[in-house]
Amino acid sequence: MMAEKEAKIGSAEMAALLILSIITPLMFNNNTLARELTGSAHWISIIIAFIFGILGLLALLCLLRRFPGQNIMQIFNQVYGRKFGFVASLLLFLLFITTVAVEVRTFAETTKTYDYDTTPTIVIVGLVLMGAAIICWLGVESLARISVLLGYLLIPLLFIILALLIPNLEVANLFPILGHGTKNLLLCGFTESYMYGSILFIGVFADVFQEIKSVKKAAYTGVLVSGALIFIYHLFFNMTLGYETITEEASDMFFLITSIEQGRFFQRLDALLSFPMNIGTFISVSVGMCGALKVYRNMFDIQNRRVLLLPAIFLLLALAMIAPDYPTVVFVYNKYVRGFSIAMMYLIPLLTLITAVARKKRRRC
Amino acid sequence: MWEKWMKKCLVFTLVLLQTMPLLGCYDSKELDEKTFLTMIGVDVGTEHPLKLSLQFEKLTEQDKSSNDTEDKSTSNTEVVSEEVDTIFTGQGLLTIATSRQYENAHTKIVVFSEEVARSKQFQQYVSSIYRNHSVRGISYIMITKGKAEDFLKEDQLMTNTYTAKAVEILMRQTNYNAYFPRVTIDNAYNEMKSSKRKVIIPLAAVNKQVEDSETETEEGKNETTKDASKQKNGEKQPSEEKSTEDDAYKAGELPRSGGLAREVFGSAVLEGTKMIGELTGEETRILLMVRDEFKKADFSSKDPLKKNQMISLTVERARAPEIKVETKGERPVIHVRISLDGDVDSIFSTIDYERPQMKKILEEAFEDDIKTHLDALIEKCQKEFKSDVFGFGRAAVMHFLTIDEWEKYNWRKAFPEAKVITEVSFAIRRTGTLMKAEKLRPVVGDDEDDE
Repeated sequence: MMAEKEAKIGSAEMAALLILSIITPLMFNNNTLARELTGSAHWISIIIAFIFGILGLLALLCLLRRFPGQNIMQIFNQVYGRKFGFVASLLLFLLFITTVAVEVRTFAETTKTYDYDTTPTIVIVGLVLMGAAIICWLGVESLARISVLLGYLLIPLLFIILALLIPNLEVANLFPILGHGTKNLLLCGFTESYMYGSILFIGVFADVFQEIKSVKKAAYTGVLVSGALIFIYHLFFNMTLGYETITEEASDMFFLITSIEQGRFFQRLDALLSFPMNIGTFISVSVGMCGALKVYRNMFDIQNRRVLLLPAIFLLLALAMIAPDYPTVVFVYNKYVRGFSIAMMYLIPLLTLITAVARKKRRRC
Repeated sequence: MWEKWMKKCLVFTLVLLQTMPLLGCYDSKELDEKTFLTMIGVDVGTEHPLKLSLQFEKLTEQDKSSNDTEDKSTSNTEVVSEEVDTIFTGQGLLTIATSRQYENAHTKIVVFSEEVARSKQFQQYVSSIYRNHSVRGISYIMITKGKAEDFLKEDQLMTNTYTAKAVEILMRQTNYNAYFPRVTIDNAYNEMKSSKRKVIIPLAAVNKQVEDSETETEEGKNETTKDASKQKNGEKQPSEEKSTEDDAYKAGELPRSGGLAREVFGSAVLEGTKMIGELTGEETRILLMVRDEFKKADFSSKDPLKKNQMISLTVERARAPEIKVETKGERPVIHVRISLDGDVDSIFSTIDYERPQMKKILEEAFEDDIKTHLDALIEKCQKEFKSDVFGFGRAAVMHFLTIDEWEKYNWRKAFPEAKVITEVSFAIRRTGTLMKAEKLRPVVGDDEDDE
């Protein structure tokens, strides 16, 4: 097999990848556990989560600035040595692979609940994974370029959907303003920052950027745009339902879109959500799969990613289908994957940065 | 070369494999395999907990003509009923009647009988509909006096056009008459659980008077002649008596003849999980003003300067109602201010209320009228229903920082004790096509009677 040609991407492409992979889970994820903690004040915890997300990003950018032109796996090897670098990369690989598996299963369950009630879950999961595998076959450069194109379509579409919800909003639903108290708000804000876990892709793909300042630009653009979208979305959801029922919905976005009623004609807009949800999922799952494969290739020094595609599909399919039912995905898998994501998002860059500073490690030219 | 060819083959196979499930084999839906429900009716059963009635649209011309008898020949719909344990298992059971699977995606109204609404299970039934993804949250909910099944059957007369459109037109009447609220399944479910505002649901009924008049023969016509002669002699009809006293009509009691026998009028008040009372059409209008759901309606009011004459006004919402709640004291104090605009439709007395100084008299009289009705309604909801259907809790909750504090305050108990200060402002903006009405020249002798 021939060796893979290394692609180069710009900041706009990476920002689009980042935005789509951060906001896509928003369209089908369940937030029952988080809203149980915060109630009417969930939107405030989203602001706190954003601040934590920025902090995580800063730690990662500091690390990347110390090792310009290198990806996070190469940095691990330099800072921790080959053995511990391998372990750190393995943890990263596990994070990506479990996140993708849970994401694709959640997508499948939501689709099955609201649209395709007869289609077996495994068919939906398999379909998404096959699509993602085709995108991965084409490489991260193609993925990034199509993300920019789709980003221009999907992000405004999401803003349109949110704008259509304005007549349903009720300010009183934001009260009591602190929900279940400030302690819960801070805790939830920290745990909700898992949403920005995708910033780790910046580290994984750091070596494919055309220039180092693009990394910073892509990271800030991605986090700011997705942060704004996430904030508006959660604020609107909070304003639509009171704290008494805000924890109940299986899929927030489906509830919101089915409640749109702009006159006698402009209603039943579920189909409008299908586009961003399906396309976004393909992009988001592909990014996760590409990221996981890149980490794996670095761990075992495999040159060609394409040979890993088929095993990756089977591995992800098996992982996604382990959960016996949707409540298990929401209350067990999601909980652990989010915790793992937070730990990796803050601990890995911070620990690596501290170790690099302590051991006076910098990029060897 | 061989490698490139292999690559192309693999990509082609993957794409081909991916397109296969897109054919929709699993979830394909053929129109003629489905029965599209337009209304669901829920009554109390005798042998089973529920009696489920399903109204559906006939799909083909053949279906439409299969039930051609008398007046019902124009109907596009059919109703099937069965005693069942739950709503959705009932739908499965009733497929026997049509051999097709029922599709809820186009269900426009779910109708519960008053008996069901007053039972403890009401919330469970609403909850089961809300949970089921096939019924849309924007479908309307209604409570009917008498049997829901009868309402569904009577409604067939209306549906000589597209049923879904007819239902939308029916429900949007409230935009210009405000006699009932427009409540969706989403609204009902969420407000049933709300601590800030209690739900009201439109009340429907089959008007017996209209139903009887439809079947009346010549004998009935004679009765009408007798009634007419009674009226001439100055005897009042029961319904007429009611109208002049307090306009206290409820669903199914409107003194009318002709048109559809079914009517939607007034609203059912819920506290907790079940229906506890009923509001008349007029009370519902006032309530909608406070809930900021009032858009426009025609009102008639006594002429302030000539009490035996009437004035007709078209009233619109001017601004959102201002509601402020003080929660510091022993009992809450609620300030409500309703702002309305209006146009004059008719002035029987021909007094020139168009002049700015005279306009004020008319505005103040109407303000007093609405305020009197509003105070009475608030008292009724506080004393009789103990239910905050106005949504004053939405303003009260803003004074609390955490959910714990709000729950401890217990708005449900505080509301009946609250002192409510109301204010109504009304401004006449237009006077119709006349700026001044000259006095009519009465027949000699009649002018004295008018005084």
